[in-house]
Amino acid sequence: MKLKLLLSAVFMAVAISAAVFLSLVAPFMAEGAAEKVGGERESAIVLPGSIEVKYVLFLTPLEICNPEIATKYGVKGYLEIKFDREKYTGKVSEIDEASRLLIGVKRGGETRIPLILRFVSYFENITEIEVVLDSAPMLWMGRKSGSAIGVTLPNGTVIFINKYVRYEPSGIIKVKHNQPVEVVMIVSIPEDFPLTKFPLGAVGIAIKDPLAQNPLSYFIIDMVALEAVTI
Amino acid sequence: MIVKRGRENFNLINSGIIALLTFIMLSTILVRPASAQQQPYVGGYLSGSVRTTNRALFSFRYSAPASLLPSSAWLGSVLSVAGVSSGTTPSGWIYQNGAALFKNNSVTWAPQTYFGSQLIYYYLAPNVGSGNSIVFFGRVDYLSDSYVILYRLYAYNSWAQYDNDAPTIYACWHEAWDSGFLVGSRSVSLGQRVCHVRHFQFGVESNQAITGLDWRVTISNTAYYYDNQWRYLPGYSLRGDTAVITWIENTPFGVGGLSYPGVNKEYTSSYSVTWRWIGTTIGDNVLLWSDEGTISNSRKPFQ
Repeated sequence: MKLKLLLSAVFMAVAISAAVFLSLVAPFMAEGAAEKVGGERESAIVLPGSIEVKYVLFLTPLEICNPEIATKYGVKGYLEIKFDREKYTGKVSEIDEASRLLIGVKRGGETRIPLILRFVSYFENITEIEVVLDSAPMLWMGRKSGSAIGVTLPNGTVIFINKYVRYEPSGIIKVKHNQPVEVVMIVSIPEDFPLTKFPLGAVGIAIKDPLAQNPLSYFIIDMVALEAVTI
Repeated sequence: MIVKRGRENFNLINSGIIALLTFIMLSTILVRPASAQQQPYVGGYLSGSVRTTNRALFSFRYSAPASLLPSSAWLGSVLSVAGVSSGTTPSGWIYQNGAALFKNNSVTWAPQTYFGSQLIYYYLAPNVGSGNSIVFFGRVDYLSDSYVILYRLYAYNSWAQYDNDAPTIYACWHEAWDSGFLVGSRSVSLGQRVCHVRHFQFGVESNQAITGLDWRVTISNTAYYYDNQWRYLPGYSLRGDTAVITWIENTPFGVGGLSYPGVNKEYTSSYSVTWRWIGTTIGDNVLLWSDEGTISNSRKPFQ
């Protein structure tokens, strides 16, 4: 009986030790396997037949803003652009969580919308980036990166809101890690603007030459997500 | 005496089995993949011989009880195409145009570009629509005259927008480093093994498997542009654990990494498939539609 108990105890101890040991060394084993291929840090899967396949993920803000995941895919940091609701003096309406915030935009005048730009770096040696504040649409001024929002009219014409947006300051600014920068988006629409409602975002804001600034890129998270209602 | 000895041996074996089960259980709990950076993914691909294109398209719509999603989960609809360097040689670039449905019923657009498994470009726009939107179209173009990759999302958020073909268009772009996209599938020898590579994929991907919930995602208009027409090829299923899309030297790169448990096709027709969580998992290479042809449609995303 004593022998049985002793053997059981030994079996259990071995099992627990082996499991704990494996849990500790497995990450290093997997990293070692990945490095054989490309020297990169992400995990690699070994399929039967020893083909190592590396996988790309579809990433949302949940993953980009999580340095543990993001850095495995070469993300050095990101630029987040938000509507500064506290600084905005006009009225803001909220329909529901899934909808854009509603704000009024004056016809025949200017509407100033405060934004906050925040750069988050995942690496100590990357302290700032250069950001282009220019709503010019694609390829204007030779720019090869940017963003736009278009609204289709009933007659089929597409109006790009970039045309009605500018920034203050404008041009190229430096944004340091974790030091938010205030920027004003100015929306100017004519009296005869054909839309009564249109989406607004930080159109045209781009990171200057991300590949030239660093071998790997940075990313833009445009959280402005406003719906402009003409007034 | 013999019976007693036999019983002791039996007990010993039992305790051994218990110890083994304990080991397996603890191993399952403690020994997880080092970084667990894979996502469940199920989808389809356009089959046929490999060819090139400069435009890829798909549409998607949700029918899902978003409020019942786990709080940190999302349900993504993704078009993934491999880039081409010259001829039909892959460049190693992967272009993904897609969006994710979140628990608050909002849809976030998140086009992204990879080189191998390194994310090179990413743009994100939240609240481009909702789980109740009529349909979204995602399109990616290679503009050869300006060497630019242009991502677009066409959001038909209401029946008025749909009936009038008046979508809201979200666009973003970046410099291109290759020369277009690949369509079709092929088997290639990478190292000493043969790998099935599917260059044009469309499917559903999540950060965690959303199971036990009756959700559907319909993906349609899976098409590429050639000779002034939008074309489609026979469609087959694929799973995230084998969804290789391109390669660099001898390293294959895939989408997702995990099979999506419990998800299967519900309806299929030419260039359209509805994915639904129904508890049984679709296999690899199951026929979705068998024909090929052109899509004649005058809607904005096709223009």
